[in-house]
Amino acid sequence: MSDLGHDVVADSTTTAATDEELLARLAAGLDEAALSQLYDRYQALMYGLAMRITNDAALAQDAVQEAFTGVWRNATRYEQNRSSARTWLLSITHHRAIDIVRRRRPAAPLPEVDEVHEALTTPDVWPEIARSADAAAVRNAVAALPDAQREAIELAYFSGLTQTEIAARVKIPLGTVKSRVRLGLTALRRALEDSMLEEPA
Amino acid sequence: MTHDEAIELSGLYVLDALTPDERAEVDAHLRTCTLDHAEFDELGGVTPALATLAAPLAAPVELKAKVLDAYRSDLGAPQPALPAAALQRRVRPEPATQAPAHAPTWRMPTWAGWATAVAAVLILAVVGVWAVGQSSQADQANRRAQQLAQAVAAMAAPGSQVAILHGSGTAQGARGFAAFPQSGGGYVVLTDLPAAPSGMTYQGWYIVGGKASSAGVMDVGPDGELIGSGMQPMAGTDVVAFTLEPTGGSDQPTSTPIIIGNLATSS
Repeated sequence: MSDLGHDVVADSTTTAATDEELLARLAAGLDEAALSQLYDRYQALMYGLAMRITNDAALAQDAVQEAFTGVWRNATRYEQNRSSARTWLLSITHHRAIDIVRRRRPAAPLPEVDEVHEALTTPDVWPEIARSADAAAVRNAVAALPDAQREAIELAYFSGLTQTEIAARVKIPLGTVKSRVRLGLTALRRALEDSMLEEPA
Repeated sequence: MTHDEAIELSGLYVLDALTPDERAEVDAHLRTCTLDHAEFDELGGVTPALATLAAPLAAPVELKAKVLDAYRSDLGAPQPALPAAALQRRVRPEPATQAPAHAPTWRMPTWAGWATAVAAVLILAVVGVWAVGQSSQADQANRRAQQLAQAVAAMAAPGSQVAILHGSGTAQGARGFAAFPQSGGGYVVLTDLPAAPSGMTYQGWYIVGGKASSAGVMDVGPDGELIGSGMQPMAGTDVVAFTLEPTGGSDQPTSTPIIIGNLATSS
């Protein structure tokens, strides 16, 4: 099984600190070396996600920078048994990037400017089903969704649209937006669980 | 927000596709509702997989220096480990201009119900003691009535942080609330609280990110009432809790909380 995070970082030593250990060091106090290592491991994943959402290099950099601020300020709140460090970092990045694109859409309900920091604390992440689901399996699962469900999920997750904005964009009632997203995510979960089962342990 | 309404929003919630107001309503529901919300975990577990759909892309090299600089300057300045500003999502009072339009309906029966319950206690206390006709007790009852009235006002004030408290274990049946108005000076009111065992005392705690800070030791009145005033929660407090501690109180809880409530912002 491959973990995308580690594919990208290609750790050269087997004795390197784990991500979770690095987060624990950040939580314990000033530790620039720990932050530096986390940065090297995740900058490409975080920047890639931020670029996909913001579609703008400067905004994506802002998102990554704000995300790291969230990481060191909230390292004490990270719960290892709930999610991997990778998921935690990516969820903070996602939240920052979404906030940034929403702030730039005049029509969107804006978070207050001074809520920027508040929103850094998104790390209430869920126990992920697939700590090591590979990108191909995810792509297959997403591709297998009915178009309407995939569209709703992508507009929400990657375009940062709110439910109201999705309803307006797709011209469907709010209730349909809600049910499409739930059905789509439920189907994705099932597909990912199945793909995990198929892999040799 | 009803339970069903919250569940309907589960998918959009885990994808971050709600406005701050909508999200706050769901958060408030999740804190206060005891029904099953497993769907949030189930659907939320899918979102990390979605992130892998974005192709990794190396950030410009200069970004690392910026991040490390920001780290040094952020942590160089004296500041709490959990900055208040970063934790106010859960407790930030909504601006008055926004609150009414989105005031979730679930809060109304809750506050109204509690106000009624507390008013009943207040009236019983005052009338009961007046009937005895002893002036010192009447003064005491008056003071207590006044405190209760202020506590109810604090609970009802827009933007107050309120925790509905429930007892368990030896404090089974105890109920009450803690209310912290924006103007400062919070209250805690508990009823049906058994007297602390000999050598023990009730101690309140503010829980911030899983860490406890003392809210002080408090005495139970002869009728099982506990009223604390002038309380000031730690910034970012999620939960208000009480434990039984050796007389004089402890620096950290030495036993499991027997009274607990999640802090939420009223509107």
